[in-house]
Amino acid sequence: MNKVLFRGFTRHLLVLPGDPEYRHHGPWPDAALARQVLAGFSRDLFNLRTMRSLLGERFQYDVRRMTDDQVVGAMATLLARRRFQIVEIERERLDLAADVRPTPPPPPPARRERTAEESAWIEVLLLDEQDAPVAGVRYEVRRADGTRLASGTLDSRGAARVRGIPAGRYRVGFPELDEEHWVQAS
Amino acid sequence: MATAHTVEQGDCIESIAFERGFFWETIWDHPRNRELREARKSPNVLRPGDVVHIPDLREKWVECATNRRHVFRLRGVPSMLSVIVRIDDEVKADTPYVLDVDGKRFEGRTDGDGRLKHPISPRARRATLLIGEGETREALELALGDVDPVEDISGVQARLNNLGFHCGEEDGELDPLLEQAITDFQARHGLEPSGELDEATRARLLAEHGG
Repeated sequence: MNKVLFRGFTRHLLVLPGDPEYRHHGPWPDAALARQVLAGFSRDLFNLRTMRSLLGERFQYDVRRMTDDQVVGAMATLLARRRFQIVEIERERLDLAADVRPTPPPPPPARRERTAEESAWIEVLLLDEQDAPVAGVRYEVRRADGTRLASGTLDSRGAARVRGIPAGRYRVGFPELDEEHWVQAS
Repeated sequence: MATAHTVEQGDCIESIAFERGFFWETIWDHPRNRELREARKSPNVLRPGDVVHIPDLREKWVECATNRRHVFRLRGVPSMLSVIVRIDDEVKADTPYVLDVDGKRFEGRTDGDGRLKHPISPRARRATLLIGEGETREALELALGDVDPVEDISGVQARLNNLGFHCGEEDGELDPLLEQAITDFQARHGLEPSGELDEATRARLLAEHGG
């Protein structure tokens, strides 16, 4: 999800660092102005949903517990910090912009160059007793110290993959499933 | 937080557990559901208004190494739908069928005893079974998780209807149509054809119905 189209207003595209389109586009002087602009966008439910999924998937916020106001506030803070930016695009490129890719790998926890040891991955797969994938279940990956590394929802293949993490041992769980409801198969 | 779930028509232990992230046996075997378990005997047969205790959800964490796929299995899912197809006393053995469960279609053949088994979602509520081919094909409606306890008149009606002893709507009313169906059932199974709901009749009904 490097590009997200914001509907309404004019033609606004939200771009995240790492995308070739991302370049310094003039400063947002303060969070208050960012908040005002984003509040405008958020009046369209489509945009509000986009913000929620962006915060949850890309920036690891616990969006289920956040009010709409808090969502706009968090987005404004991130915009002021240039964690993403909003650019205007020409009408011809709207189709391209709407082609939003699914969940990206989560960003490394701190702002620093990714080292070789952060190229590890972990994959989680949940099947039922007939080997059919179980989609839509919340999963979470925690570090050895119990802090959260990644979380999200299993895709239609019952799978989730977390990339770009330091090699080592992590803890995997499904916070909305009781401990007796699932077992490790392999 | 532990809660209580009040049963509605169509609920069974499997559907209630699945909705809340539990393995159904955890709920059914919970000490606080002992009275319910003893009264209802089968997790598939609850009465609307029954109260099911839902315990606290307990998290679990499994240690996993990087650069590997870790496979986990959900217990108690899918549910199995198991039906013996018998129409007008004829067991439909080795017969092709099409089963439609909440919009998903499965095709197959019944086995030598007229039985079919299919995995279904614990959430499934309705199924349509087309049995046979061509002009002899018949359609049967299956209400899943919908049968009341056999102690209830409505539970007796549901079982008689499922077994082909037509007794009308499952309204809990002991009417002439139901009495006739009970009499027919008793006669068929070598019981006194009294039309009365005695213990022997209920027990036989439960055995013939398979729960």
